[in-house]
Amino acid sequence: MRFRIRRLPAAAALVAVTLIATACASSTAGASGGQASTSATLTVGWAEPPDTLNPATTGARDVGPIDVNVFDTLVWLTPTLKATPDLATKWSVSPDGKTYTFTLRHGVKFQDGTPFNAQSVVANVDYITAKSTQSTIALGLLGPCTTATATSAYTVAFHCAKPYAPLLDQLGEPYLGIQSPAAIARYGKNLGEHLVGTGPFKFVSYTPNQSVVLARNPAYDWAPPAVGQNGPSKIAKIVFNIVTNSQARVGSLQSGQSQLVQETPGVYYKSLASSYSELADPISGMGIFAPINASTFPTNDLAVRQAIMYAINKKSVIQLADSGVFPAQDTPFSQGMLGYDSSLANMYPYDPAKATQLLTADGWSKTGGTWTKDGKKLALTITAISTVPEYPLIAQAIQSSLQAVGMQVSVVQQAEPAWLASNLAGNMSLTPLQYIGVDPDALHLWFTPGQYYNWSHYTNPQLTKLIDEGQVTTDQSARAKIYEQAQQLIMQEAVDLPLHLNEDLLVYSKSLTGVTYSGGGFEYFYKAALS
Amino acid sequence: MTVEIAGQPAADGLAVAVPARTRVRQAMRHNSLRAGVVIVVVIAVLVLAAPLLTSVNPDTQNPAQTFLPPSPHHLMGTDSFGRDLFSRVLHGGQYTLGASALVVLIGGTIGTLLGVIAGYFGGAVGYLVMRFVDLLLAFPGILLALAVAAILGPGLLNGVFAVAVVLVPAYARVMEGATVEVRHLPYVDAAVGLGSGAWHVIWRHVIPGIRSNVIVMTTSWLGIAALWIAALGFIGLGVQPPTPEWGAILNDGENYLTIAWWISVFPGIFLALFVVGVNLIGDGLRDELDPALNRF
Repeated sequence: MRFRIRRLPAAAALVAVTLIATACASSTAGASGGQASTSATLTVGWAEPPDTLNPATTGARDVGPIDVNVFDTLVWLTPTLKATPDLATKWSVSPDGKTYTFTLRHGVKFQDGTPFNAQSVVANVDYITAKSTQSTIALGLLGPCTTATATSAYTVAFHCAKPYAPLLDQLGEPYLGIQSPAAIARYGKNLGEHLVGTGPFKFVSYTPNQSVVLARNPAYDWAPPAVGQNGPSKIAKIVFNIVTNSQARVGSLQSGQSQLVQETPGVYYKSLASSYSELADPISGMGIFAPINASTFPTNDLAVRQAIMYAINKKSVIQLADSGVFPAQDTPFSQGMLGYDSSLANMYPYDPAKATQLLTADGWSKTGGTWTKDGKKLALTITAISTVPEYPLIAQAIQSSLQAVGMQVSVVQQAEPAWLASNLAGNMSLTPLQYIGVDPDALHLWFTPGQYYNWSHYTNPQLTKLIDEGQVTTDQSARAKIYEQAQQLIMQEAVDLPLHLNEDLLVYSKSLTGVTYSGGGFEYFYKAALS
Repeated sequence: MTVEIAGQPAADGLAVAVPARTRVRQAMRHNSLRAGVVIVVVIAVLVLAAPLLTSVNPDTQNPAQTFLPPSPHHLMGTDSFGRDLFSRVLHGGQYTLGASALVVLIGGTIGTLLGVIAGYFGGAVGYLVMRFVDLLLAFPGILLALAVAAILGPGLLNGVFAVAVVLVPAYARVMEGATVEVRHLPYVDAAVGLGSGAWHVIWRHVIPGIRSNVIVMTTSWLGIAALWIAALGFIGLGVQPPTPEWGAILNDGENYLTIAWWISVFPGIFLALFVVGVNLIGDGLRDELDPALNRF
């Protein structure tokens, strides 16, 4: 099972959050030879059982890649997170930043025959924002833009209560995939078992905890131009077999039962590289990181937090926890996100001597192998979710790094509810986790006062101001500047320990080509072909 | 083979005076008992002598030596952190076996006392105690242990307590039955008739009378306790990393079974052998100590 956080209704611009571990290095889907079959079935070993397949109500990251193949979105996010036309051919933002107007594509039909038009988009927004829907991720992605009106048959306007810059990119996430209004009206609560979109694959069946089956949409003729392919998919059928055990998943690939597996553990990703194709699908957001608790002793002491940053040998942590397959991450945002600032990467090089020096300068003294200050010991607690194998491993590797500079560290593995409770109460010094999203407004959730995810228990008026400005600034370069400053502050205050890039490690048969992903890291099989 | 217990008062529930040495020698003729004692003693010696047998710190990580297969240098190989498994398994045994012994000590003592009190006094006291025991018995053991561990939070002592809670009703149920039986034997009636106080009778006559039950119960539950302590460790509710414990080491290796079998296999072998050994002893002791079986 993978951990995921459901979003609280009150939390503002939440993007998909799943606390998962995945893996690794980079290579692209290139294989050779053979004739692509048009009747091929692609079987995928999938890691996480869906909570529901309904994009509007799911709270899981692993549902996104299934939905991205069934539903089109208004904009298409390229793998480098650029918003390009999809169901909307063009758009404009009003000068006050509160109204987004989209011109829609003509001639698109849902898989049940319903024509796609401005009314369909309005029906989707109404559905997502209806209280009875209990939408989590999707509602968060809309932010304050909770009403849509059809200004003509093929133009739709989104109205925001306040300027909301993240909307455009977030409309490209599969959670805001456009569903057939007829299906919404007909299936209601059971929509998750009757997916009807306009995408390249149509839904066939879902057997809980076993499989999800999709089949080619033969009418598909409106692929996003950025994808660079037209017409129906080459693959006739996709079967997502749910195999939660990672070894069993790898085994299903080796025995030929599946042609692709996801969430491959680092050690297998490394050992299978020679005989399979591999793709490290980059999941955008804040990577794998650890909020450092700034309100509880001893990490309420800035010197201690900074010493932690210097003392951790990320390379060794990644080697121990994931066989070294992931690139280290040294900034709050992963590369490709708006506001990513590579100059921050050198702020805290691995330097145990510097850590010792900082502690000494701050009045800590080392006696008998332990640091003390005013009679109190420097003892840290690292919590880790016990159900996701990677986190306890990371916690132990960090523990070893910190013990090397004389800090006392205990690791506590907790089941999800206990882990959430200790994060909220601040009963930990730091805890490894992940945050997935396509927009830098993520900082709003993690570092502003009163937020559910403010697990650094840190507030700073200057930082809050920057984050608020970022939310309403529509000019991209001005926005990027704001987030650079915000990250600078976060790093100086050492409340976020970035660990490594968040990647979904895909391993697949060499006969499979064209495996790709949409912006944010959602596996997309429209271009896939099996020979 | 001769065993250290020779010379100590032999554990028996019979009032017949047989020299301890003789009884031990008789008992050791029992094949399964002999095999069980050998297995358990060998494991206990290995585990207790861990600091003498290996000088490697079981928690020292080494990124350059991960997943090494067993070799003369690392007798049981290394795990994903490059830690030496020989050292981890031997040191880990101290936690697994120590915790199991503690479980049996705590759970067995409380359970036996409750059972004896209920059986000796009977009436309202016995009724109340036994209904409480029934309540606990209604839960499947491992489920009860998991629930208690989940409430108390992770940690070795919490795990010990969680498993001990399961032993209490099991002991109480058996000891109540045994006490009721002993309570009405003539020598107990005689003691009561001579005016001995209740606690004196319990301590001097009833408890010695049910001693063989306690011993057999303890040997059979010791194995189960070890399994459950390891189970809690396996799911992360027992000892916390990086402390080695057999169940926790098994879990460390679970994700690497196909590429590094040795991580899980060695602690697994030790755990399995220990449980088998303890059960063999339990079987043998039951045969030796049960008067009904002995006489024929």
